[in-house]
Amino acid sequence: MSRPAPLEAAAKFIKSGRIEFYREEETFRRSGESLPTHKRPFAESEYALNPSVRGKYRLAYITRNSLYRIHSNHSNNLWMNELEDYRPKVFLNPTDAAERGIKDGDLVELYNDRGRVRGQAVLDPGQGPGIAIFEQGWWSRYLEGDSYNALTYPFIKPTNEVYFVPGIWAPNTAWNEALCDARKVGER
Amino acid sequence: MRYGMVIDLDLCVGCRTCAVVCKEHNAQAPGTWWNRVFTPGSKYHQIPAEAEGGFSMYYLPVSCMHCENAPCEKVCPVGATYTDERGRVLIDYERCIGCRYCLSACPYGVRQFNWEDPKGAKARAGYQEGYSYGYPFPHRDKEGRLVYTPDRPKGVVEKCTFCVQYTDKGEEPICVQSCPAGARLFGDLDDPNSRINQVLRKEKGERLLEELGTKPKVFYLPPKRK
Ligand code: SF4
Repeated sequence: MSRPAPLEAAAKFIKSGRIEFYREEETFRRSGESLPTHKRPFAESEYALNPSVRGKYRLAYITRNSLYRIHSNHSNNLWMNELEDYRPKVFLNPTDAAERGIKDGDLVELYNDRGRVRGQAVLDPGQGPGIAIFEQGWWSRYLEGDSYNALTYPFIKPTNEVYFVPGIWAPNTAWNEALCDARKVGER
Repeated sequence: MRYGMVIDLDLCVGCRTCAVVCKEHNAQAPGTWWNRVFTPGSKYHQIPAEAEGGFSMYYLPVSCMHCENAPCEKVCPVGATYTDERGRVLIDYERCIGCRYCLSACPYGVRQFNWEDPKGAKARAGYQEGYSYGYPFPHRDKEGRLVYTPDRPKGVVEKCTFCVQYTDKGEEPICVQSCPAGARLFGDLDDPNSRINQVLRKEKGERLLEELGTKPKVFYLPPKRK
């Protein structure tokens, strides 16, 4: 049976020791997040940083975990590479792909002002529109020397900084808070 | 005794663990896979296929079906492929002459050929010299036929043996032992009380390409939710 963590242990992270739906620290109040709140994606991150990217990059860049790696471990595992044809892939919704003249199997580049990464287009009809997915963990030797994290940037959500427990809990980059767009760079 | 397998496609999560442990325990060279897991209807694994009224995504593990009426066995001109007393379709690696008739006869495409010495294939793929994996000992049947050996010689055909080296000792094939979803059952089709027969009495098992009359001993419980 699983029991809740002891109050004193949990209180290192959250003052009450339990999940808090109401937070009254100054940072939360200032950002209007004392209660759970929906905020428009990118309004306080990409668009705040550089308003000119609005409409220029129209896809949310998501770097998800791969079935074939543990983060970047096993990136050079031959068996895992055989299972995915040694090809890094860019997953797109078919409508987004068609709009950009991208067909299944094309070599595609995801790019923004910060960098680029390339992979083979896979059209996933079950994937939501407006999203480009790249699987994290590929070493750059498989990416023509590029890195999938060239597109991300160190955006730290201010409310993440309210608690800091050395070695356990530290504010981290919001990896999936990045915009990009896709273009075809070659046929298969 | 007649070994058989039941794979519940509602339980299979498509993790491909079975394919990887099969490759490892049976010492398959780079490029060789005795056991593969597909996403039916889709070119890519774990990407849904368009289907009537929406999408479909389920997974289909495929390895040797150990057919009762095995086409591979029939075409083998030297009797290297045979069915043993426990219903396993096996290959005598010392008898196979590499004609590959069985490769074209098998409707499931599970047989694979050693075009080169596996040591050469491993070296080319970049394995460290001397690195080896898999069950380390040769294994022979009662008549002395060589039905498992870690490095199969150049020029022979190989495929799933229901892990003959383990099932001979009363253990289950490694894919059954390691499936994290418990999707695979293994047992004796001749024993009315075996777990697989109990399951097959309750649910209708389907076999791949049943219409060909190959009578596979691998049964699938089709997914209720595609
Ligand atoms: S290990 Fe089990 S769940 Fe995973 S792919 Fe194989 S049969 Fe399916």
